Amino acid sequence: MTRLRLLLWREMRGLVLSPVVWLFVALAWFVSGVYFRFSVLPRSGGDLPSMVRLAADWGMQVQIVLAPLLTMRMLAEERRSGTFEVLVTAPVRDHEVVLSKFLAAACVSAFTWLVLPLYFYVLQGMGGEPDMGVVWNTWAGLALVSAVFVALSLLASATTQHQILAGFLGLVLILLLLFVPGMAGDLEGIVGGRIAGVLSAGSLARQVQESAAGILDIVNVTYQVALACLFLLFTVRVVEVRKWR
Amino acid sequence: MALGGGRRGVSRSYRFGVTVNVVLICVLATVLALGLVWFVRRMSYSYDLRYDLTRDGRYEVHPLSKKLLRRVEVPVRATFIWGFDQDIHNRVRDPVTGRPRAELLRRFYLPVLRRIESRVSRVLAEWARICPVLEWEVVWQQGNPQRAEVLAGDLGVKVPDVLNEVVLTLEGRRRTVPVERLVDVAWGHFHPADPNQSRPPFIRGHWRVQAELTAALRALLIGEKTVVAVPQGVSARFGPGGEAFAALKDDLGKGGYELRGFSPGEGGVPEEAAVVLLPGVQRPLDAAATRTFREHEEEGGRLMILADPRYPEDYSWLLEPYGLELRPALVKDPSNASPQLGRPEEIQSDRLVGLGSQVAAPLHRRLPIYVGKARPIQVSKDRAPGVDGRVMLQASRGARAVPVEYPEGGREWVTVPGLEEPMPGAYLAMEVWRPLPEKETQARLVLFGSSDVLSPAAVGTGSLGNRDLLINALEWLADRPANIGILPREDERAVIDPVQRVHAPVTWVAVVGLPLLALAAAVVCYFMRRS
Repeated sequence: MTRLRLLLWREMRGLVLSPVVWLFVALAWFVSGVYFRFSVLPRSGGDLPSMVRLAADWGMQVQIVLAPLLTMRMLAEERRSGTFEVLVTAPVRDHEVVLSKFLAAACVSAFTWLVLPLYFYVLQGMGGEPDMGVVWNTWAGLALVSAVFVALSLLASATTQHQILAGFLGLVLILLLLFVPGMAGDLEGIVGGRIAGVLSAGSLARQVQESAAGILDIVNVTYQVALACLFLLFTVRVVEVRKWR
Repeated sequence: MALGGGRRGVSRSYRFGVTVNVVLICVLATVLALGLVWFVRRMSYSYDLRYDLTRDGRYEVHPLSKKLLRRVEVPVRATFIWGFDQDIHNRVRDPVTGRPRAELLRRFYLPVLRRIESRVSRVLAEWARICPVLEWEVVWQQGNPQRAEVLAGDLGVKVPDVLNEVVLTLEGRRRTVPVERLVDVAWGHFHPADPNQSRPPFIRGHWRVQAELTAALRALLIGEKTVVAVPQGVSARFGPGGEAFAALKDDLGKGGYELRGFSPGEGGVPEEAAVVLLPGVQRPLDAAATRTFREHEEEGGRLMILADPRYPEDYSWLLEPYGLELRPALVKDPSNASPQLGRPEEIQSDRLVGLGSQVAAPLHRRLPIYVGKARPIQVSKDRAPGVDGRVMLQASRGARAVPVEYPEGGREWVTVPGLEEPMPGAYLAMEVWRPLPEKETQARLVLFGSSDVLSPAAVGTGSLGNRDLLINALEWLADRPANIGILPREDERAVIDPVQRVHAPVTWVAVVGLPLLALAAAVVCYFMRRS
């Protein structure tokens, strides 16, 4: 646990003190702000629940890009620069290395989405009565889904030493993860109704929408946590295999 | 570790073994993860694993509905085809071309319909989580007309017949809930020449999606319709043959109740009737009718009586065993006067409910109940053994009663203002029962001092609790107390109007302030790294 804490501190320090990461955050906040102001507010017509739903939709779309950008360097760069061998021969376990990187990236991603409750506090200050329980639930939903995307992008980063390729691979995997459940209806004729039903139940977009509606579903949380753990396990295994090559 | 002669220091077979080991672990972990998710999902059908964090609990499914949904084993289908119906088209029709103006439909009516669709979809999604055999589909008729045709065809109707109605079907039985019952909407209109006379549509509030869909589901799952017998030929205000009766029959029919007329003098109350309803009898009942109802009550019958201060019938021949008396008076309650009508004798409030009432308690401070003109009910200690009861509706402490007289002839009534007296907490409605040991049952009575409470306008208005009160009373009389309830009213405070007033602060904070803060952090980090 101490080693994990130390590694986590190292990773967090690396991210928090990185001007590039802050530039990404600034860009994400700017684009989110513009979208909220010029798209969400007019389209919602002042209806606060609609604002939350539209903001959650937007958050999902931004994360598709943000997660790979955050994580593409993490393992790929270590291998390219030669620090990977130092890391894996250090007295730390592979899963501690992977976990520390995951937690650091997930924390930064969750921090990025703190703007969502902030927007609604501004609206509250202007006399609106947003349901802050729903807003925070939406934030939690986005944070969990971003953790899944970060884990998947980390897996992509572990498979290659080229960060651009890692970023691109992460993006493709995330898109697959999002679009396959969305295509379940079309795939029903190929894979059968039961499998199509299972696929559609795994729709992360639908789960984020449910969070935005104010619903905390343990099934959704279990699914997202299981998915993130699975991707992290794959990442640890890939790191192990790479170690012995 | 087998150090072979390879350049990388480990043998090929070892690497292969590691790879196979890793793949096996990954496959096993995937199976375990999917198994865990599947298990938790199965548990969610039996236990509540979904939490509604909304302020007004709008997705909270009634505990009774959860029980019903979890017991359903045959497929239930919910269909909602929404779109611009003929009424909406008429409101935006261009008198020159004769066509509806598409830009008005898109700009004003589409957002309203989308909000309704969103709510309905959410409720049905919640139900589907509890009930694995529930299938639901929501289709926008203009966006997907083919699919709408198919769905309507499956129901055996045309699209206009079910447009903007939620249809629940189970084993060939069907219940429909029109959009007007789901939420109070002012549909507006558009003047072709003068925009100042146009009124765009808006949602007034009082969402009742959960309540209405659950009521329809309950009626569907219970199965056969509950027959409510209404006597004809007794000059009842809402008796068979009148428009009001037809409207009530239609409204309650969708909720699983069948209003059926019968002649009290011929053969008595129909056997299949679960409840007998006396809806505002305008003249004293004759001997044959009173004998029929009294005999029915003595056999363990269930009656709902709507008296009225305007009509002389006081039902003393039926109420005597219960120790109840309908005073010939008109209740005036200034603090519970109807806000629309403004007169103290027109009572309407959400604070009328007697908290001990099983029938009305769920409505307390939830929905206003329109009582209108009411006679006070007095209770005496002189009653049959075992009689018990509860106050359903009660006036405030400031209520007064004005005596009423019924001159010869029957239909006219006059108040005697000079004899007005205080009547604090006057009883306006009661639920009473008495045991009938020899029949091994009990007779039940719901007595309203007003017939206005059943008026079609009051029952059909979604923002009032009259319909819920009526249905709860019928369910109590039909001995189905588990069906009594009301779902929380859905929140409509969550609107910023006009939204333009928040544009400036949001721009400064979201577009300028926060990104600048992050940029500043980037600059600080850059200089920190340099130093």
